[in-house]
Amino acid sequence: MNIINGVYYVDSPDMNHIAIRPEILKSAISWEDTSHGKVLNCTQLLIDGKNIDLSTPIVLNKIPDTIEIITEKGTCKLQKLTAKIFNEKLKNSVPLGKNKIFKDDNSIQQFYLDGNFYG
Amino acid sequence: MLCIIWGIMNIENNSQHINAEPHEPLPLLKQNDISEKFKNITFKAIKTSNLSGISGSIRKAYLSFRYVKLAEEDDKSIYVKVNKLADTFNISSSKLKKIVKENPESTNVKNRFVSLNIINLKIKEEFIHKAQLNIKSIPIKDLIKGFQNAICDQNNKDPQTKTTLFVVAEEIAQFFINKGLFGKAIEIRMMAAQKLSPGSPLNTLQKTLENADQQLGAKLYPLDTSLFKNNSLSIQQRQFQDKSSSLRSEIHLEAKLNHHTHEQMKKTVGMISKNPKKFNELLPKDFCKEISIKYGERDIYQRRENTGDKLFSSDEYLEISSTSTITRIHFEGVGDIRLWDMGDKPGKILSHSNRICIDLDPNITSIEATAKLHILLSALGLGAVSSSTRPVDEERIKIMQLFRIFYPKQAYTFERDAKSFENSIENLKNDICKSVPEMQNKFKNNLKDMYQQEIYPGQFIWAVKGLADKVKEKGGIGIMAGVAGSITACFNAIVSMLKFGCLSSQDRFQLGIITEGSTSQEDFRLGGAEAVFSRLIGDKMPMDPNEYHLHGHVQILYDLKLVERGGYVHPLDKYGMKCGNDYSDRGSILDLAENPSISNEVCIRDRVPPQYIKGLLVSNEEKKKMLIKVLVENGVINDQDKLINGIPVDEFIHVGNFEKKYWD
Repeated sequence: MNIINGVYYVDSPDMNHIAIRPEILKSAISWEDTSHGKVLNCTQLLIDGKNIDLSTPIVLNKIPDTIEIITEKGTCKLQKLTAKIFNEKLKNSVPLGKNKIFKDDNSIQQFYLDGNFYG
Repeated sequence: MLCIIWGIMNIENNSQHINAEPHEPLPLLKQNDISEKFKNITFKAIKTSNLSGISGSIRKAYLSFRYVKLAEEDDKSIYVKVNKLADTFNISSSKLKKIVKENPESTNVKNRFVSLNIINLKIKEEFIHKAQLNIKSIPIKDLIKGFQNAICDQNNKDPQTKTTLFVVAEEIAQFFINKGLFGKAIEIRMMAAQKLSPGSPLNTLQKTLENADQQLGAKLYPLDTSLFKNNSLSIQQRQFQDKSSSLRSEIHLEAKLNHHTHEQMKKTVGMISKNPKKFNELLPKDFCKEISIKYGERDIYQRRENTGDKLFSSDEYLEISSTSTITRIHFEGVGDIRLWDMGDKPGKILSHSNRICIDLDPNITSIEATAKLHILLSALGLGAVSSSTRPVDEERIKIMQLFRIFYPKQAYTFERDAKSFENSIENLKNDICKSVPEMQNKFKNNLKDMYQQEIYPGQFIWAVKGLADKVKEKGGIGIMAGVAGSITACFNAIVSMLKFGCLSSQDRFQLGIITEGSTSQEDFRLGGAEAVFSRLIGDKMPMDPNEYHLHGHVQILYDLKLVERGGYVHPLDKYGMKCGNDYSDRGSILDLAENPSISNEVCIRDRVPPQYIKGLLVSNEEKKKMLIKVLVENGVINDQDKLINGIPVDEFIHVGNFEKKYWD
């Protein structure tokens, strides 16, 4: 299974901004989010700028920083979620416990990887 | 035979006629304000034991049905001219004669004695019946007179009559609003609110709140069909911790208006915004100190501090980013109403379309709430919410539900046409059959067998018996959903689903069940937030869960009977979209079952109760053991009987691939 164990910021006004554990399956990429998750059929996939062959298993040495998904309708860019991106773009519109702060990128990544957004 | 002329007031002439003065209390009419109607009628009071005692001209007139005997007390009788009586009731003389003939209180046909109460009742019944059948067929003049006549009856205790009178009041109010006569419109609404006491389920509000589930809140159901979607109003007691550390408690109500109700309510809101002070003056004295209105606040859901707790966080919320306009009307000392606009334009939130929230003032107790809400809802034109659903409303819901389930594309335009809510049942059926002749058979074969499925405790939806079997005949096996997240998060979610059911995003947020870090969601924009998502598994589809996107660690196997309550389907992943051609041209569940794709969507409205979860599927035995341990720890599996939903654990939690028998 081609599951990337990371959390991404989705740079699109129309989508949920959090992408968790993207998974590449056949010619599509799916990810969990804070709702039902998302599936996009892609014509081309770029991981850290490199074109990926969708028909073969992917071997990754590290959690990529960017994933670009090219679909028939356009491009969707996933950017690895950092504390800086969270504080700048999301913090003011999401519910968080009192005085909760994310000190580093790892803590924000782990927060979303562990979250239960379903029940 | 001796005939004694008995006169109270002035004797007209030798023809033995006596006039009753307007203020004279009439026999049999004491305690009844209907006597007010007869101020200007000349009554004939004659003591007589039979007609032979009446002088020739009166006898002749009586026999020729120019007079009826209205009342009788001791040794006096009161006669009234048929045409005057008919005028008073605003009906034709022939109709009045018909009522008298059909409802004589005396067995002696010659003795045409009928009480005003009966006449009034019959006229009211006829009016109510006609109004129920097809309100649009009644000319506005007759509607006003009929309403005025019926509303005065102190015996308006029948809940269904009350509902009809509220509907009539609103029809008249809309007539006045369209003429620019807002004052008159509010006058009519208030007359209805003050003359008709709130009925069920609104008058059970206090009890409903007391018995409400801590986690799920409660529903006021069933409510009049033509106003709210889903025929219900969510209700919840919420607590907030103020900065001063004091705890305030308020009652929160929430619903979605039907499209045409929203259109009508917008006019009332426009009227309030022009002159809030004047609007307040039209409401009962001391109801509200002041009214103010503001637009454009942020679209947020407040988060509950802890699951199952009433305490909501004052400063933790999830913002739904949109360009929707929210109108807040503040009724000082009563509460706030927030109204969302239509969500079918770009940038709007479809799942919030026509949403209405009412937050009662914290000083209003659950005991006072019913009376306050009764006036508040009536003032806004939602008075019928205060009363019970009528059989005619239920029939309409069933008809539309049946149409939507089998022919969603054709039903789409009907659902958005106010005529579908106003037309008589027969006309509605005829119009549907004209559009889709096959519906004739559906009405004949399926309508009578429709049953109610539970959505929430106390809230139900009409379902089509046997539809799941038809889906199976076409190759459908069952419906399922993957539960993703980390393994711990996934198992915790399963615990919650088995305890409280599977909730749509919107219902979870509405209840304040918001996970920290939740972000603005795509399904709200597209309308799917109102649904629990699932996929139909067909016999020609892969049986390996890993072949499906978003399969998660555990797959929940839902009872296929859930499709019997309707919902909507997409052949491909559309995030539960409820707009555009994908929605308006969608097929039925039977169309989907013929050839389902791997990414199909079956959207089930609002909530799947735990009893509709037939089983769980995991990939290996190790995961099964881990899951069982979590379920035991959380009390989902009883350590003694080892059952889940009444099913033995090993028959409930499966390992490996999908199999048809798991849904049997």
